Amino acid sequence: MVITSPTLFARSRGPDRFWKRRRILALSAHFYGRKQNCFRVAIRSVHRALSFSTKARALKKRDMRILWNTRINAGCEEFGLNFDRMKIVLDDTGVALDRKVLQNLAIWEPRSFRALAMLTRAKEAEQGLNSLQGPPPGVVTRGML
Amino acid sequence: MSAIRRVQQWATFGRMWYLYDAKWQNPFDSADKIKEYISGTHKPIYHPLNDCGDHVVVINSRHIALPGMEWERRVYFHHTGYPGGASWTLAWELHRKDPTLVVRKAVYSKLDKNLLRRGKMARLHIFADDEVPNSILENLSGQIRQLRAVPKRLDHYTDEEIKSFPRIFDWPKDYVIPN
Repeated sequence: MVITSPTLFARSRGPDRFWKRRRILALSAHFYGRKQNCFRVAIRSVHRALSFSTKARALKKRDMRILWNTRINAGCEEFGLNFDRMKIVLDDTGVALDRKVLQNLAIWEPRSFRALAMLTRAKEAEQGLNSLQGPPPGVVTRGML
Repeated sequence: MSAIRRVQQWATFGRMWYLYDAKWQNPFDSADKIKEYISGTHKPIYHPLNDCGDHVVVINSRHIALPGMEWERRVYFHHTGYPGGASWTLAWELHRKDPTLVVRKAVYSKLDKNLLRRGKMARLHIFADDEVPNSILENLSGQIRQLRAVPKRLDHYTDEEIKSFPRIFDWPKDYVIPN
């Protein structure tokens, strides 16, 4: 029995004990054993599960950030770079792309990502960092014009 | 899905086989590098649940170079589970027993400690020397760069190369070079 209508929902907040419990048991429907159907046991594990999901909302952001860093680093490795170096250059040159977009480019638009990597190399060469040669081919900097 | 897209997908998700020459390389630093390839973190499509790791074939594991005093100081611990069943093996003893084990254990301990670890280790193929069976050799499609170039020894240069090497100064004619 699931709360499907506004009438049932209103009743679940009121004095009707059966429907009040249905609201909790609906959340424990996918649990294993007595946690699924016995209210006394279910209420405890539902509270526990809800508190986990509250914490997970913050953890998810952290986990995604770690994953994006891994992916962008993998994309940078192909061009002999790493994200720490690319980050600084993108910030300097005013390329306002965040990690989510950058990892998306690395997967779906490898040539756009390559352009950003080449930009990083060119900018570093211009500043005299991490390069014995000049800027890589195919990049025009302001100094050349 | 068009034919081009289908081939693109095969190329993206296909497993590569990489060769790594462990000659004169630090196995513990190499393990950091190899770990990325067998767990797939070297690809932008990486996801922890996405089984996208590649195979790595390590050759010349007999000729690894441990840093500092590690051959004598590094100790591998094993316990049989019975009382008095503990044993401590030095790195040089382990290497004498099986020349692939130091590399294998280095990679194994660098990997994440979860249920995927054994599956990832199955993608690592270590050979003591440079002889690799043909069944593995024909899969190879890439190479991992060595961490450090193997230096050439003085006795491997020809006499002409040594003589033509530029010198800062000449020895006096009556100077005796001690051997």
